[in-house]
Amino acid sequence: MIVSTSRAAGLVLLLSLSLFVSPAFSSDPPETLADVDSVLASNGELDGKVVLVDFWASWCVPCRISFPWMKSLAERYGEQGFVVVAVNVDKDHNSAVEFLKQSDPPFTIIYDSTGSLAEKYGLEAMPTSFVYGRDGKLRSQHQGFHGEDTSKFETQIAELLRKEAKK
Amino acid sequence: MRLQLRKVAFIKPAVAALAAALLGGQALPATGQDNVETSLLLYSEKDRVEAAEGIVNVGKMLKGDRTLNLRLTYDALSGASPSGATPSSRVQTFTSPSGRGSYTINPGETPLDNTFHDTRFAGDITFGQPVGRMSALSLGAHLSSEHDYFSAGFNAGMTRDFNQRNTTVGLSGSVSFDNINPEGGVPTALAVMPGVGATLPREGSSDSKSTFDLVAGVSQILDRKTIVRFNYSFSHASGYLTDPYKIVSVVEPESSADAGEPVRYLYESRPDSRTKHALYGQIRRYIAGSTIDLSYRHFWDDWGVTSNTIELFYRQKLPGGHALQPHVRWYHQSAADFHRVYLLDGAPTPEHASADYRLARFDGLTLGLTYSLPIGENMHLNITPEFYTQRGDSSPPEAFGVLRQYDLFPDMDVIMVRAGFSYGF
Amino acid sequence: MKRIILLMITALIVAASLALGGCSHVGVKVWEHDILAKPEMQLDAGANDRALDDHIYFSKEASSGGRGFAGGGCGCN
Repeated sequence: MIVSTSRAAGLVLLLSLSLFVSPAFSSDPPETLADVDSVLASNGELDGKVVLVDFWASWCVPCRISFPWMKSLAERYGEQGFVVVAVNVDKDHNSAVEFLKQSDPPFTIIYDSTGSLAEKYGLEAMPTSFVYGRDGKLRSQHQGFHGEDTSKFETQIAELLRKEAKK
Repeated sequence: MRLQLRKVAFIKPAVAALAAALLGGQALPATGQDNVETSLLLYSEKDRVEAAEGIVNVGKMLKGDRTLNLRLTYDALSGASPSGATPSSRVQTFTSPSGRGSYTINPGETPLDNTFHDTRFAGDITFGQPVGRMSALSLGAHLSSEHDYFSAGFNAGMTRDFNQRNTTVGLSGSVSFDNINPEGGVPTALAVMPGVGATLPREGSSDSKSTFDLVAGVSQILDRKTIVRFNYSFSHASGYLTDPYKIVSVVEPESSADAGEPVRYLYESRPDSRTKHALYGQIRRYIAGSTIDLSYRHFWDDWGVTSNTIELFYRQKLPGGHALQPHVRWYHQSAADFHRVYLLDGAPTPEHASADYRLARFDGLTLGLTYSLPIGENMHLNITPEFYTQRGDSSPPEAFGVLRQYDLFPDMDVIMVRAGFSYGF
Repeated sequence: MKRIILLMITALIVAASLALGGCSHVGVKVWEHDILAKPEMQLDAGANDRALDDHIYFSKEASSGGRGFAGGGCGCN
């Protein structure tokens, strides 16, 4: 049926398949909140809190979708010492401001238009969020925003708040 | 290294706790957008076919980043299509495909078969499933039905992102099974077209073909404003690939007093397999609010057809979300090995012969202009008037005798209008 | 014919390995997809229009095939 050409097609297939099994990258995000702290010059405002550092952009649809959820987390757990630091990586500052005007989240916003903080965190997906415990140590990292993961994510935050009681 | 952040801002906590009520943990927001896209095409060939086609496309995001896409297409066409026969200085009478009627063509005119009319309904469904963070699988099926044609098939594909999502590699394959039920049955290849009422030379009432397609490609982000992609596509079809409605004129040889006049007509004959290849390259770049897209395709097959296609889009952003997009496409193809303008009376009949102008050597040119405008939140409308023309060799070197007086590749000019509506929610 | 196929495969391999080799000047970081995420930069934008076009060309010309996967875009999730 398919004669000499099938060999070519097979080769292409093989090549493509071989590409599918290449290894993933691994990143090495900062173990502490020192970088975020130094940007915020926050004078210890984040000390003793459970901090969610979320990298987002206005052009990133999953990021936008994650905002109402993070907002609700901040509102429900704020009193227990939960803080969201939302790091915006928009190159166009106005797009970010416009989105924040609509969303109006109770977050601390860092504008990282040059991506230097994003670079430090070695982002591999948008959005990516990093959870720090009350001791300021990195506890977990979440890539992307998937609706079905939210309850697990929330449980983890609630646990961190409970386990490490306020000093 | 010191951080160089442009600005640090603190946003005051908002008062509302409304979202908390809405998001009790049950609601699972999707990570993309559902969308509906509809298109309508009106198509008109000068003195030939008129057609209308409508498409409704619905894309739905499902749980777990799965996607479902459903596309329905309906089209209707009617009018006249060149039968393949050459013009003559006499009135020509042809038997209609059903064998029950006939039509006549005036001297000097290109024989057109005006019994051409059809409606087609097609549907296809595609399901997408992410595999890990970087890969996705897709599975699909299609059905298409006309009064004389039925096609069904399946497809599967996968894509994988690499290199911090700068590179996407994809591979997809599809199979299709088609059944052809020509009006009046399947004509015997190269048999003589009989007069009205006579028994038609037939091979049966229907025939079939199967097609296997493969596309392998890679797309690569070059910089913040530029993306390129390369594809190779392979297609192998086997079975009945002949057009049952096309004929070839057998004409008087040059030595005859009636040189070039038709003696009889034969039903055309094509090989029963065809292998096609295409290489495709595309670059799109964003330049100060506008977008330029340039693509090139090189195509070849084992029927001897080689073609080159260059397509250029330029999208100019206008104030208020409006945009204007002119579009040009150049196309050139060589003739199939078995393409014949005519066959000679008295000469041996070749194994395969077709006078179908679509297998001839010709150039195509498309000019279009798309105007798009927002008509609401996430709602867009676009309108595209388009002009498409085919220019072939009106007096090919093989023309002789009476054939030299006539246009053997009349220009085909098409005017089209496309209207599209899209809604994301 | 075979030579063309071979050439084409070589081109594909070169393109793929260039991309995978992680040539540091090619490509952007995941947070730099602001322009690539725009609707007009999606390679599969206007799929209906292209489907209508391809249907016309398929029935009026002897060639087909070419267009394939999208890629690029937001690069999210």
